[in-house]
Amino acid sequence: MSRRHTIGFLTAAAVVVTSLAMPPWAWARYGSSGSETNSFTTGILATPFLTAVCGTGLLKSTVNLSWTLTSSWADGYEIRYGPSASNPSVTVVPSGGRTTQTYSTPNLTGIGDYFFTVTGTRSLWRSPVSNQVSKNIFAIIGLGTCS
Amino acid sequence: MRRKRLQLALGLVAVVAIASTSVGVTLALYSSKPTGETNTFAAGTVSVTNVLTGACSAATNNMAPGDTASCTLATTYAGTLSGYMALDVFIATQKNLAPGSWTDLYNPADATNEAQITVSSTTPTVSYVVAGGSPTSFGTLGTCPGAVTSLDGHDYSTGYDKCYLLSNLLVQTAAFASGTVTFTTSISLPAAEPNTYQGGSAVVVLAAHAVQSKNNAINCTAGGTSPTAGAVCAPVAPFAWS
Repeated sequence: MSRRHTIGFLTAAAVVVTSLAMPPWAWARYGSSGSETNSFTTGILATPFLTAVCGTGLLKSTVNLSWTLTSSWADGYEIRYGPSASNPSVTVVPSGGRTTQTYSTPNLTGIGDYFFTVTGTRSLWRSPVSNQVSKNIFAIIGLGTCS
Repeated sequence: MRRKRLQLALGLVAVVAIASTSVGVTLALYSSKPTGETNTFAAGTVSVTNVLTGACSAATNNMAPGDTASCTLATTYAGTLSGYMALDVFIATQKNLAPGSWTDLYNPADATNEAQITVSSTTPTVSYVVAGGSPTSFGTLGTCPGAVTSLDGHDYSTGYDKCYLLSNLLVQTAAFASGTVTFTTSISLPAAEPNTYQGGSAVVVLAAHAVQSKNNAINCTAGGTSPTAGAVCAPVAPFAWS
């Protein structure tokens, strides 16, 4: 018996022995698979850019605000202003939704600077706060000036 | 002497020739032997083919509170052997990378406000859930895999905050002989989702797989030989998924 035949015989024998010795669960199983990937991302509201001008008219202490559009999926804006730069005391949500880009304050009172910011909104989501702008108000008993 | 030898040799040749001829006639017998038997052994196949129907119902980027979207995957079973089919669900999630306090979009710790992710199928109609859990609690938190070990060959080891894997959700108790299962991945963002979810992301990978049922009767940790479709089927030997 040649060496080649000997190896062949031993291999076959090993296969038989292995097959008999292997428990059923050790046999190779046929399987197949495939996958699908879906990516979901939430948006980030774009930051509006705010500008402010004083209202016109005699003894008027109003400020007219205007800003750039936020993201197309926003539902509106939130304006905050007040005498404190770090903690504006007044919050206003202009009516009209995302396409409303102006707001005029009522006559502001007091003496000193007023600070203004705006954010885009979608439900509870807020865009980063816009640039902060300020106007100097000099107003007593509802009459005053803005500069 | 030499001539005699030559005559003897020729004589022998003639005798051999005659003998051969007669023997040839004698041996011209009709004979037959049985036709050999041919046995062909062909291994069966287990085959699932995926067709991305594509198309998600709505944009899956720039999603906002109150938005919903769903995407479908059609998986066709076409093996010559019947097979059991199961679904693996993998989710990798990330938060807004901008400075600030943000939350991963998929966040089982906040089941009310996180992205509500569900997986279901038609033919058969099944909702896939963690047994005894919420539909939004897919997977167990684990290490984000690299390209070699992820379900879709993508490298999730960088760029993602947390990863979850849920394996072997049984599609149907009975083995498939053929047919197409359409899986749907749905996501909805609660209308009152807090601002901290803004800018987050979640990748959902569905991987359908099948294994032969012949000589591999189903047996699961939950449900034994009568497991529940849609629930995890952790195999009990001798049953195995691969």
